[in-house]
Amino acid sequence: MRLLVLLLFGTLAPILALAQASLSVTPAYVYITEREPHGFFALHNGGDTSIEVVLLARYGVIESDSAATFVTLGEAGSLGDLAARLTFFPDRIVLGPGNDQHVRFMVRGVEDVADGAHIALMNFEMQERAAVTADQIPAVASALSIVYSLVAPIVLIKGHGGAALEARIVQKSKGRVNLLLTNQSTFPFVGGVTIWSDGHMVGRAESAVYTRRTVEVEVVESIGSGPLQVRFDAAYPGVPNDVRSRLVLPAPIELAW
Amino acid sequence: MQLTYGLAVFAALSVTQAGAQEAATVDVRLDVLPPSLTVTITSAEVDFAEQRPDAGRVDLDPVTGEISGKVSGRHALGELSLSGPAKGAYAVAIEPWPLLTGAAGRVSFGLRWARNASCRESGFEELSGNVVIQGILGPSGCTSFRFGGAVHLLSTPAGRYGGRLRVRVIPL
Repeated sequence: MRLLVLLLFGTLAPILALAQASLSVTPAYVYITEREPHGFFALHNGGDTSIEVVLLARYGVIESDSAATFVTLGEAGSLGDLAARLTFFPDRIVLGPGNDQHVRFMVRGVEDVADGAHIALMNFEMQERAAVTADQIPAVASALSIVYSLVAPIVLIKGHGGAALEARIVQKSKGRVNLLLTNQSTFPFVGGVTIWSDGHMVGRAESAVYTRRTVEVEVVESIGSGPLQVRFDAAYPGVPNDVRSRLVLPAPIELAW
Repeated sequence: MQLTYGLAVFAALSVTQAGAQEAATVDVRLDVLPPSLTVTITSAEVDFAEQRPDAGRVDLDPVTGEISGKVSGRHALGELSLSGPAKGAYAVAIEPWPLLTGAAGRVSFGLRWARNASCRESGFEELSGNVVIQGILGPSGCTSFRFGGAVHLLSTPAGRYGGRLRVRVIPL
C-alpha cells in the first residue's frame, strides 16, 4: 500500500507541477470604422490545463511618459469612450487545453458617435479562484491572488482627420533615439515614424500615438550635426485600408539635434 | 519598436502546362496581421505558507524562488511567461495592494518581482522599484516573470490574510 501511494505521488507530482494555462489573443488590437462597427478576438489555450477568462471593456488608453509605457484607465485624452457603446459575447469563458473561442463585439449606435477616434481597452483577465486554501491550518497564512490581464485596444475611427503631433527627443544614445510624441487631436497617429538627417533616413519605427507615446527608433547610420527631421508614413500591420485612408498623415517635424 | 509581423498568405493558383499556350494566373493575397503575445500562467498566487505570528520580515525571493522563515505548508511565487515573435515588444504593469487583509486584521506587504529575459531555468533579475517594465523578446521569443515579496509579522493575530495583485500585459 505504501508503495502504491508513493508511485501515485511519483506519477502525479510532475504532472501537477507542469500544469499551465496559456492564453493567446489575436489580434492584439483592432481598428474599425462606422461602416463595419464590429469584429472578433480569437482566444486559444495552448496549455495543458483549463483557464477561466473574464472579459472587461474599459475606457482608457496605452500611453507613455518619458520613462515608460503604461495603461491609463478612465481617460484617453481627446479620444471618445467606446467602452460604453461596446457589446461583446461571451464575457466569461472556461477554455480547455487546446481549445479555441471567438469573442465577438459590436458598437451600438455608431451613427450617434461624433467624428474622431473612440477607444476601449479589452481586458482578458485570468485568475485562480482562491489563493489561501481551506486545508491550511494557519498560524499566520498570507497570500495574494494574481489577476493577469492581457490588454487589447479596440479603436473606432469615424470620419476623416489627422493627429496633431508634437515631438521631442527624450533620450539619445549610440544607435538609438527615443522620441516622445504628443497628440492633441481626436484622431490618432498610426503608422511609421522615420528620422532623417542631412537628407538621409537614419531610422524607422512603428507606433500608435493616441495621447502621448515614446517611440524608440534604432538609428542605423551616424547622425549629422544639423537638425533632425521626423516624417510619418501610414504603414502599420493589421490596419485595414478603409481606416488607413481616413487618417491624414501629420506634417514633418524638425528637431534640434 | 514593434512586434514582428504575423503573416498569413492565401494563394489561389491556376497554372497551366507551359506548352498549352493558355494564360497562367497566380493570385496571391497577403494579410499582414497585428502582432499577438501568448501569456502562459504557471502560478497565479503568491503564497507565504504558514508563519509564526512574530516571524518578523518574511521574504519570498523572486530571483531564487526561496522563502525565508518558513514554518510549514507550501509556498508559491506567481509566475507567467510571454512568448511571441522575436523582437516583439511588450510592457508589463503591476498594481499591488499594499496590505493583505483578514478577519483578524491586516498585514503589510511589499512586492518584489523579477524577469528572466530568455525563460531559462536560472537568470532572473530583480526589477526593484518599478511598477512598469518594457521589453523586447529576444531570439528565444520568450521571457518570464516571477512575483514574490515580503510580509511583516509582528504580534500578528493568527488567521488567514489575503490580497490581490493585478498584472497587465500590453503588447506594444
